[in-house]
Amino acid sequence: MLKIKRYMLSKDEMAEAMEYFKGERMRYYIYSYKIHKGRRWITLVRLDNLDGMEHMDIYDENGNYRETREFPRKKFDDFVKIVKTFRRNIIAVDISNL
Amino acid sequence: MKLILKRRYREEDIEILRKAIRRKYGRMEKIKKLMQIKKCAMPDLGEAYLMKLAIDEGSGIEEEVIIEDRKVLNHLSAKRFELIEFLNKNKPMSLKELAGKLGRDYKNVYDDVSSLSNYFVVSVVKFGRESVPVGVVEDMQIRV
Repeated sequence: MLKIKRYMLSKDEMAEAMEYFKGERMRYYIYSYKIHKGRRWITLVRLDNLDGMEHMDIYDENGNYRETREFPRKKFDDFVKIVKTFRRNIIAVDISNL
Repeated sequence: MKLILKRRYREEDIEILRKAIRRKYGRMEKIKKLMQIKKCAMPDLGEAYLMKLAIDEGSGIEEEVIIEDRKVLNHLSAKRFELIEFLNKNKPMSLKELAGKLGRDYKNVYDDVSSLSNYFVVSVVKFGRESVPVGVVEDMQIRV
């Protein structure tokens, strides 16, 4: 089962969760903060555990990959709170300690 | 104010999603290989991977959209609700087909779908230059 949750902060900003469940257990997740630019959604920050390790990928406003940082597991609601606080400045702030 | 909607994907919607993923990324083996090389550089790939896992497993996809922006109300009109209801009752189709069935001008239907899809009130899958609205809006609530 795949559960998708989109939290639209405005027409061109959203926090998105994709959680893949195997039975009752959540096996994989991707939490992203995206902006709408030039007819497409561009990921600025992404937390995921796809390779079995919790981490954060950071991109620039054109969607180009910048860096990967360690990031402790967060609930999606907490990720939304962080995103709502920093909005587009999120890529300039070190949120890994929050 | 919050507008909250829940969307369900029928078998015919899942089939459209499957075809769109295959067209863009290829088969699951190719997606897995790409994941090993370009997972970080291609953020959309991970999303396609999770979607493909759920589709292949046949376990279903649930979607919830929460819209905090009051401006979304400017995008909802009687005509657009009619469009949402029509999409709920019919199989997925291209915008051209949709305009024909509704007896409306293609440009107006395109504008309506674009406007609603900007807030994910309508979910659209792209096939090259064609767009196909998918999913059924099962519940829509406005909370103050």
